[in-house]
Amino acid sequence: MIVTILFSLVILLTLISVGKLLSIGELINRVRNRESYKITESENNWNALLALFMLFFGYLIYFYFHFEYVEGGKLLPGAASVHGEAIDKLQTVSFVIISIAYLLVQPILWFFAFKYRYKEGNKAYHYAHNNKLEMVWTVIPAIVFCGLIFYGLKIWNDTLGKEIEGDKLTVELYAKQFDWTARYAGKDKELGDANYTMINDLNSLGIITSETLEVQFENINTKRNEVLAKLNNFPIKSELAELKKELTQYNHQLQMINGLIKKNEEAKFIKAYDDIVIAPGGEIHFPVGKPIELKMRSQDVIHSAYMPHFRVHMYCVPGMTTTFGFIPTITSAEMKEKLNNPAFDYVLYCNNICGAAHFNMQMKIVIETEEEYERWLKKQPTFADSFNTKPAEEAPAATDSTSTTTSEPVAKL
Amino acid sequence: MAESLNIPGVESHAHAHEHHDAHHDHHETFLTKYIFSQDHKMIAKQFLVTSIFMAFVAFIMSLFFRLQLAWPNQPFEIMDIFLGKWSDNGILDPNFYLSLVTMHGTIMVFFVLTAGLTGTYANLLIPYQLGVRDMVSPFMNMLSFWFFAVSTIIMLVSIFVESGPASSGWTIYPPLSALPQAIPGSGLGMTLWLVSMALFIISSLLGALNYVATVINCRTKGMKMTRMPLTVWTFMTAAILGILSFPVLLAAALLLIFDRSFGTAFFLSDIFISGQALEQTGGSPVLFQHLFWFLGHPEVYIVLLPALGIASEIIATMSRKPIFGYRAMIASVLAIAFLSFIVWGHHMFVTGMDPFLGSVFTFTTLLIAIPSAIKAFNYITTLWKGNVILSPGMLFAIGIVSMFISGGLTGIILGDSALDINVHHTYFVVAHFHLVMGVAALFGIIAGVYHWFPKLYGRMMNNKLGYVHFWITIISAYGVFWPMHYLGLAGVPRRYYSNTAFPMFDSLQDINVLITIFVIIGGTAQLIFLYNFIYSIFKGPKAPQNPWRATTLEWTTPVEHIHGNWPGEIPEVHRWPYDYSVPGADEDFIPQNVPLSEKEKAENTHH
Repeated sequence: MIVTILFSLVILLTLISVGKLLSIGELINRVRNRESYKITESENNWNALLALFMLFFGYLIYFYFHFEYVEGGKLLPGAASVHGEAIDKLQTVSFVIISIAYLLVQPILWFFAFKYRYKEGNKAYHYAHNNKLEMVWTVIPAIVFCGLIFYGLKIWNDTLGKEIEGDKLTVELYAKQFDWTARYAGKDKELGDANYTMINDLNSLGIITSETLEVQFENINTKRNEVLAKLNNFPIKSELAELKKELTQYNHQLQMINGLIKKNEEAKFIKAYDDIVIAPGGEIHFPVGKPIELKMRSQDVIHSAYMPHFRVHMYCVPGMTTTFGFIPTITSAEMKEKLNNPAFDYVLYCNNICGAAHFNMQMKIVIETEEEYERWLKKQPTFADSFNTKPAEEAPAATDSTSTTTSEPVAKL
Repeated sequence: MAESLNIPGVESHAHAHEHHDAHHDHHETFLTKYIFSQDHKMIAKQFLVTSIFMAFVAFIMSLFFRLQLAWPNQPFEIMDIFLGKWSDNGILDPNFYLSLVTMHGTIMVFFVLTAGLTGTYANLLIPYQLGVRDMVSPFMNMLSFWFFAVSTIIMLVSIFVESGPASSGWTIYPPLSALPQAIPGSGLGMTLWLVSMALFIISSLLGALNYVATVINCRTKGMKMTRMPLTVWTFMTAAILGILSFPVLLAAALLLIFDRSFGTAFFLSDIFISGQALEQTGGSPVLFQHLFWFLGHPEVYIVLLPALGIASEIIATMSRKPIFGYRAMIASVLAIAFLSFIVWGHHMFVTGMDPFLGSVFTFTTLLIAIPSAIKAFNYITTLWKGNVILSPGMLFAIGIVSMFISGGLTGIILGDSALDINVHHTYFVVAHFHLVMGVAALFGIIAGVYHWFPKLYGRMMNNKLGYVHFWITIISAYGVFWPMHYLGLAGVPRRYYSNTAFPMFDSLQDINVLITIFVIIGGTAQLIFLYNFIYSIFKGPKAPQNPWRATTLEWTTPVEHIHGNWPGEIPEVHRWPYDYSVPGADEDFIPQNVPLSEKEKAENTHH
């Protein structure tokens, strides 16, 4: 409120003084019979003074925001991941360099505008070029930037250019309008296969198992038959095109599912049974100090998985899987203590425009010790649990599994 | 070359005189003079006025979303009045918020900065400064404006369609832009957007081909390439960039149209939306981004280079000094232009592209900093020991350099792939490109208006209003965009309808309020400019022929516009355009058409 009043006052005063200035200027012009476009020396001096003010203004905004926000701790806390710490260092080095350049060059510009303002009788110094000088400001930036490039590229390659080795935890981040689903690879450390034609209300990730194949085939076949029936029932013209489009869509989908069924007959899709799916609204848990391999997918449009506290950011693109590996270093509890903020939470959110609710597409992340994580993990049902049957490595009982897939636990998927 | 083709309006210097007599018989009606004009000066004015109008449209859009960002979910009656069904009792609709963001970006980048800068100043200054009677093809030039006009109208119409205008960001990444199921703006609004852009690209190509052909073929006698003012160098380079990159955007737009309407799968793959698994497989959404940024990045320089050219010209003239390092400036412009074609991937570091490719783009991107640094230092050295006249145009030109420095430096953070990971798509990016490209290029347009107003309208603008306009504008520009860097460093993403869903952003809300207040102040200041502009067109004091005592050829033309620019013969050029404060000369400037003195000939030091 006070800010608003202050600003209104500033605007009002500015407008009044502008008005005064102009009318006085006009008056003087009329008296002296001078054309108003000609720049008087006093006008020039006033503007030169304001240019000098810009010099201080440049320092003012730099230092005000630096102390208020950077030093004031209102920005992101230090990285909570191994590669993030390296990125932070690089960022500090880069900011020191560009700050020096800003604090040196910007004031010189305004200072020269002030210092060399027009004076009657002065003559400018005809100075067209100086190769030595130009070499200096070509070579110095070139050396500095080359240093930055090589330093930056090393960090970049350390971050994304390497396969994650050793005992890693593979987790899928699955994006759709407008929430996140996470999937842990489970005991076999491999994520089960998935396909977008397999998606239905109960299987939002499109995970492929013998059971889901069965259900989805029935599901789509029924829908297709409904459309066929409608088509045979002399639909009105306006509906015809839409129905035909649906029919081709279902035909295509059935074709894809049939292909998967055939594949399943050759070699069963069993990797998904031990996967653990965390539905939207849940929490992602990671053990501290363990290499995490994130695999991103998207159901509909491009989203972006942004976890700024870990300096992790990667697009989720429909039709492809993207990856990002990192090692978290600070548990949620430690971070709360460090920031003295019990309400602090790590968070994953969408950072690529994806639709109306883009601004609220988030999921809570918990970093905890290995033991805490194991305890949490044990409590999570596996994908197979949701069928209420054992991992069916043998041929699934068709009718049974169909009925169970519609049962309660699956609905949470 | 030109006379053998018998192109109207263009003569080589040798034939100038005979041709000119024909112009006296040329009777113009209102229609041919103001509407379907083929005169480069009139076309320049048409571009200028249209782009100023569009700038206000885009600015008002930003005002609406800034209100929402500063005071989220607070009702504003003004929204109800202007936005109708897109405002729910004064609260902006989230879909329309995205539409506003999208249209603000599209209009500003293409319809204001591209058209306003190149359309206005390349048209005005290329013939004027090179000593040409008109463009190579005045008819094509006219078409260029009218394609632009139609494209503008379609873009404006798209704001009023029922499902709303395009709303997938100005970069229109598919699948969001391809699927009306994903966002309502991707329905008819997006179709109109694509049609409008296709026409815009045609307009831009017609213009650019004309500019390049004119520069290469039609310079007056003595106007060697190395005697061209830097403005012309930058217009020509920007035009070449446009010719090479805009067709790629057209291709991307066409493929997107196919995906949207004919079921192809260039950019779509494996999509499940509103309960349907779409048929398309095998396309790549990332491919679109490659095509888009292949234009998108050169586009930055298509708008920035002309602004820098205008800055060079004005700073040299008003410092009464030659531009420092003329050849280095040309080399930098060409280097920047070349590099701008091989850096597009820096917009895509985290799209999942190969990390090695990311390394290459980091390398080329940071290289651009070198020619940019040269340019900045050369501007500053031009001011050094000058006799600086701070006209409104000059202040805006210095403003361009100031923005170029501030905004350019943060590019070093963004261009570094490792650092981009965490600031990509945050407000840090918004701050960076608004300073270095948005404000700098906008200042270019404004500086040009103040400086060349005598050549545009034959009158002078009011300086005092210009000063008030400048100081409020530059303070507001910093007030708006400087704080945004810190939002970005705090992890606030761009294109968020509000930040209220994240407690971690609560302590930053006062930054958003501050920004919006500066938007309102800065916007009000533009009304001063608008008043000054319109008032001076009709009532401004009559301009003298060469009010700034400049050396270039446009100031040798009569104040009143005439067809063919020069009443008599076209002036011949004897020297480079920056002979300011030459030691031993009587005046502190020697126009390009003044022959070398005996002394100068003896010294043989001239360009």
